[in-house]
Amino acid sequence: MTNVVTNPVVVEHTETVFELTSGPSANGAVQMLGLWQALPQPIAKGDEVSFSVDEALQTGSAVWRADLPANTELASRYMAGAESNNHLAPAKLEEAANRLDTFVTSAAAQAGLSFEAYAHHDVSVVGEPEQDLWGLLREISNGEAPVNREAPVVSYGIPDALGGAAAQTIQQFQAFLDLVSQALAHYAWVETRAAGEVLGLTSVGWTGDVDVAWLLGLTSDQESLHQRNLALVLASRRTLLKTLALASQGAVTLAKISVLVSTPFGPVLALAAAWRFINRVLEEGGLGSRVS
Amino acid sequence: MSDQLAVFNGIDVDSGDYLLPPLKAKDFAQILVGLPTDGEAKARLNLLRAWLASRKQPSAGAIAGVDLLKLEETGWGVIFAFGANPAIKEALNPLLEHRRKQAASNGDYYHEYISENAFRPDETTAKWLVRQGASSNGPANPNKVPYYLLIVGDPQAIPYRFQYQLDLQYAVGRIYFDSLAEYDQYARSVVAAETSQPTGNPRAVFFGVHNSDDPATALSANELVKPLADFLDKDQAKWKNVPTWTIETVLEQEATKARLGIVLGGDQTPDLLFSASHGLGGFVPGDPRQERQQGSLICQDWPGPKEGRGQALSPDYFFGADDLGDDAQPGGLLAFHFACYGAGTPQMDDFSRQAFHEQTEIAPRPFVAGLPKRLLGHPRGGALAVVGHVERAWGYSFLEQGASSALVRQLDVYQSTITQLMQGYPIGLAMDYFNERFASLSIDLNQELEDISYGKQVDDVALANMWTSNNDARNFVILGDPAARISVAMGATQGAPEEKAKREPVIIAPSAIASGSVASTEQAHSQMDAFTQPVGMAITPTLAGSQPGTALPTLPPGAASYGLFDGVPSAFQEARQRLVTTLQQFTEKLGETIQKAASDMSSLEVRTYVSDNLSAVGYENGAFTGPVQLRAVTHINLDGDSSVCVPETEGRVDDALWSIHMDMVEKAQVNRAEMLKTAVSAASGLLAALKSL
Repeated sequence: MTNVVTNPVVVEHTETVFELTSGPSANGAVQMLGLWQALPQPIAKGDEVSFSVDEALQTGSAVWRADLPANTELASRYMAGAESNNHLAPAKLEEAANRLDTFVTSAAAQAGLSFEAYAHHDVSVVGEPEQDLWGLLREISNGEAPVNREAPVVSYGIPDALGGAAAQTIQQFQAFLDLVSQALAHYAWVETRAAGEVLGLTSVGWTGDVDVAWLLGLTSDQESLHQRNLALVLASRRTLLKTLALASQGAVTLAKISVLVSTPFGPVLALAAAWRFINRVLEEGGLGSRVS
Repeated sequence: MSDQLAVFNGIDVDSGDYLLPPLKAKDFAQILVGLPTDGEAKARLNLLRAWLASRKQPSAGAIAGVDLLKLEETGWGVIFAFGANPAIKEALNPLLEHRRKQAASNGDYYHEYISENAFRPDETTAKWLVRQGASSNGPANPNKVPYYLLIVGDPQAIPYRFQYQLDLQYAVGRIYFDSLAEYDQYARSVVAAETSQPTGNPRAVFFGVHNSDDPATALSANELVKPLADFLDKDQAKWKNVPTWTIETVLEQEATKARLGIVLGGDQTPDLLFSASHGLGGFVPGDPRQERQQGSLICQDWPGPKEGRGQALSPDYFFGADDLGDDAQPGGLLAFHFACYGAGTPQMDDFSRQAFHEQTEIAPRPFVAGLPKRLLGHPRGGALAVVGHVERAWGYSFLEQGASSALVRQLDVYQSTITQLMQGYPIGLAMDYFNERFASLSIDLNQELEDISYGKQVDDVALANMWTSNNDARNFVILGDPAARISVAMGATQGAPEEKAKREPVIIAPSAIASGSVASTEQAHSQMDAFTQPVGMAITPTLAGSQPGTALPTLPPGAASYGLFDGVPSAFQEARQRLVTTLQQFTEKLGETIQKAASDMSSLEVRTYVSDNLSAVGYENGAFTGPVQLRAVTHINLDGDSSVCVPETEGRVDDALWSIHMDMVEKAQVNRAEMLKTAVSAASGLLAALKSL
């Protein structure tokens, strides 16, 4: 879904192209919402196109930067591509919540929340996120911890119980959480550049106060680029926060699956798995966050 | 005081954090606008209206001509749960006989509601009253149902809701113990207190904790405990036929756990103890410590939310049932604890249901707090009664919005209640001030919500105040006999140096009564209530910071029990700990941000600059630095006033820049509202998630 380019000018205009590096303290997080890349170092300059979030050492706040090509029409197309994806976010989040509920309800209806029984019934697997979640639960079930109901004391071996997708899910959620924490901790610093030249700067505080600085002599189209970038950033911040909120709420629902109830790491895994499910649904709309 | 936060007097046992993040009134109100106005709420509104109307009669609380201080006129009754163990009634016999003699001396005003007349599962207050031949609203009529009513049973068998609503018309208290011995002990203690020589030199202690960096206890210490004690100390000069009370205050640095142990069951136990502090909460539902410890009083020893954050609360910080040793002597005490969960805990979280429309289980079943149970049923003589709070106690309960929108201290209810207690009024009667306030607030709140549903523009701050005050007033309950009273020597001269009558502890030999556990002998009614058992299966380990080896909740049938991560390799523990820490830090940051945002929400400012070299522009201390020129400013106050600096170029308005600027203003307004709403929602979700981790 994400391509790394060094010279976007040669890239097809219809393709969404963003530059990717990772932030200084966002180990493992490489992309957010299918758009924003984590940067470990000063952003590239020139004609490269990038939407990036990094930790601005100078200000201590997250910097959301759109590095656009000098060609205004081309820059506008990049922006339009990002906007079209971003507009899907509220609906996809709502859809994710509903699908997670449906998944758990289906499991409960068929197996009384008992994973052992659940494993022997058909479930309403309607899409890739559901299949992915189903696989995750199956992996946990096949580990030692949840299904060993015979033993009076259960020993949970992490290689068995947290191997593969389960361990990866927790690790990925941690990376996502790290990046979101950085991105939302302070005010948003929004930059729009064209061919490396800064067109507009905006600081948006949590209280809503806004400081915006414009480069003198901009055309209305160039002004529009920064306005649109700002709107994109604000919407992205809300989407990230909503994703986290939804994951925490979804974890409560998901924790009802008995395979999670009966493990000591169930609550943590439920939270990570809920996020993973939501992220998968967002990915269907090109809005997923990619972490490694 | 207008900027005071809506703070909750509850601290999470494992994290040392607030049970909810403090919220500004306006911020809080925004999430309350969607309060439900269901059929039940409307029915309650009608009941409240009828009840308030009855209060205009000369004998407020009961039909005309009834002296509420005389049990032979008001009557006294005891309500058991359907199917209750008959041995409980037997254990209570000393008290029942005592009350029978008092209430039946002038007619048939003593009633035992047991067997077919007992409270039945899922019965409403109105249905129960009608079944007894009484009116479901209006004043109490002792000819039908006595005014003083003692509920015997846990809140699962007889719900708190029944107690709240019955308390509007009647004077209601509740007792519930784990053993028959405690029932017997309590019964004998009340009788002993009422039949011993009244005290001529009563003492009251006002205990006010003020933890560091903690706005909640700053408020309760400075705006409740201290002024209340000062008022009573001065006001008692006007009281007639009441002995002079010695009033002591134990505030702030003195309000330690050790000191509380001295005045709560220790050798300086007073006749009346009023405390205000945080209550211990935040247990994962089903945590074996929950029923015993939730609602314990957090003392000055706790270093506060800043220094103590992220740390499990040490037992050294709070005073609970386990701190009241067998050698304590709480006999004759009447205690009033202002603290979250001080009296008990409902099964479902009232706050999340009301504010977020979610049913969040905070306990596997509702229960009475451990400390008051221990106080009332103490083997060396129990306390007479304990007043406390079910669910969270709120910082707003003694503050109201004044005419200038600022919050002002309002202690009338507290002052009146405590005054009557000190004058020897039965606690059920004295607490009627809280009931009256609850009824009045409920009517106002319901009316406001009804108006909102018809499009009224809500005053957010006022609505938040109404909601918090309403819940707070409703959830104060009496644990103990509502007819219990401090036995002061009525008619004694002010200041008479009379020695306080020594109350000998009432000690019951273990063999004096059946030693069976009440819980184990109540299978009959437990079976009847089985359908009310929660089906939730979210059984989770405790939070980070719990002591290793802490026992975990009972697992679902078939699941193995385990210690806290016993056998789980450290790799997972490390991963889990890192995740929890990150979440805690983020949630904490979010809470702080919400607070800051709310405190700065009185205005919104948008500033537009221009520059010929933005690459050289920086940002420090909330302002651009470098080669920038400020060209336009819009400052919007939430009261609607706005001030605008318009950009000009050569004496004319720069239309292009002005257009961009105004577009930015519009975006800023929308963004602020949406971001704050999202942040509040996220904070609540994350807090709930953190509890389970």
